[in-house]
Amino acid sequence: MAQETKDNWDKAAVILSPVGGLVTALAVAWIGHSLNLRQADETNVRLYAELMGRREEADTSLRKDMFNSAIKSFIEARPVSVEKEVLNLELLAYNFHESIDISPLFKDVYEQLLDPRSTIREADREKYRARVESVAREVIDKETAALEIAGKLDGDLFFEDLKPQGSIVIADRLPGRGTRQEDEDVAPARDFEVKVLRVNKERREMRVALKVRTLENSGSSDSKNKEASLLVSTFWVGFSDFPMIDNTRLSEGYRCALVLRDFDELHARMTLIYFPTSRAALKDKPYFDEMMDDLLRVRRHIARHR
Amino acid sequence: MRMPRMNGGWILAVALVSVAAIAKNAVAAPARPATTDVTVVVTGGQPERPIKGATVYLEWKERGATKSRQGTTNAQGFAGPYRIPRTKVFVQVTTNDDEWDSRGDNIDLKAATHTIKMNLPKTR
Repeated sequence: MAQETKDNWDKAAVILSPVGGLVTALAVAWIGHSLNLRQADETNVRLYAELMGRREEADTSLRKDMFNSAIKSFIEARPVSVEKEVLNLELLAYNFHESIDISPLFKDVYEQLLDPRSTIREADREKYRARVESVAREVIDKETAALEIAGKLDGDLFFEDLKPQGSIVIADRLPGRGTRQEDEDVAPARDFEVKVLRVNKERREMRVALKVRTLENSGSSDSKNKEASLLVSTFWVGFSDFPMIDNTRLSEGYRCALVLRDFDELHARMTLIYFPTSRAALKDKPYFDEMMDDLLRVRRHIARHR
Repeated sequence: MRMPRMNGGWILAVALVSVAAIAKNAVAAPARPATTDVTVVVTGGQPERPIKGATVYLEWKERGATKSRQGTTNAQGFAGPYRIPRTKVFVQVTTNDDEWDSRGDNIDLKAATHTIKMNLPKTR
C-alpha cells in the first residue's frame, strides 16, 4: 500500500483545525461573557432606575399626603386654631414653595393675625406673626439665592425719608456695566428703577413703581443705534410675594422680581432679582413666543460656535 | 265700675323701660359718618393738559385701619368720584410712561364733594 506523502498544507491543516476549533470556542465564550456582562449592566441600570422610580413614587405619595393634610386646614370649614394654621403654612412653605403659589395662604393667615376682632391674645399674635414672617423670609432667601443668576440689586428705605411723590431706592443696570454684551450667554442689558410710593406699616407692605428699560442693540457701542423699550408696573410688595412665582415677565425670555428682605419700625430693605424664565417655578409656563425666542437663541449660539 | 288704681312706682317703671328701648334703638342705628365724593383731575406740565391713564391712589384711616381706593383717569384726566369718609386723605398719582413724574399730597376733606387737582411735573 502506497503511502501518500503529506505536504506542508496537510501538516498545517492537522495543526490548524484543532486551533481553529479552540479559537472559535474562545470567541464564542468571549462573546457570551461580553453579552452576560452587558446584560448584567443593563439589569443593574434597570434595577437602579426602578429603585429610583419607586423612591420618587414613594416621595411623591408622601408629599401628596402631606400636601392634602396641610391644605385641608385652609379650605375646610373654620374654626381651626391659628397655631395649627401657622404650622401647616410652615409645612407648605418649606416643601412646596417652588410648585404652588402659597401667597394667598400667607395673606389669609396674616389677615387673621392682623384682625383686631380675632380672639388671639396679643402676645400670641406677635409670636405667630414673627413665625409667619420668618418662614416667608427663609423662602424668599432660598429663592433669591437660586434665581440671582443674571444679577440682583439691593435697596434700602428709611421711612422718614419717604417723600409724598415717592422715593427711588434702586436705579441701576443689570448685568453690571463691565459685562461684555457680545456673549450670547449674557442676559440683555436693562436699566431698572424701583420707586417706593407708599408704606403700610401695619401690613408690612410697600407700594412700588417698577420701571424696566431694555436697551435694544445693546451690543453696539454706537449710542445712536440704541432704542429703549420701557415697562412700568405699579404693585404692592410684602413678605408673601415669592420671586419664583410672583415676578414680572420681560422680553427675550427673562424675568425680574422684587422681594422684601427686611421690614422694621424705621426701615425696609428690598432686592430686585433678574433671571431667565427657565428658573421660574414649575407652575409658571413660558409663553409660546418666549419658547420661540429661546429656540432661536440656542440656534444662533450653535451656529456661532460651529 | 271702679278702675284699678295705678301707683306711682308702676308708672315710673313703664317710663324707664320705654326710655331704655328708645336708647337701645338709637345705639343700634348710629348716625352714618359723613362722606365726601372725591374727584381727582390730573393734568401735566405748563400749560396744563389732561393726562389719560394715570393711576390715582387714595388712602385714609378708618377706625384705626388703613383703607385705600385706586382708579385710572379718563381722556379728560378725571378719576372718580370716589365716596370716602370725610377725613384727611392722601392722594398719589403715577403714570405708566417716562414723561411725567409722580406726585402725592395730603388733603383735608371738609365738604360733601371735593375736586382735587393734581398737576404733574415733567420728568427730568
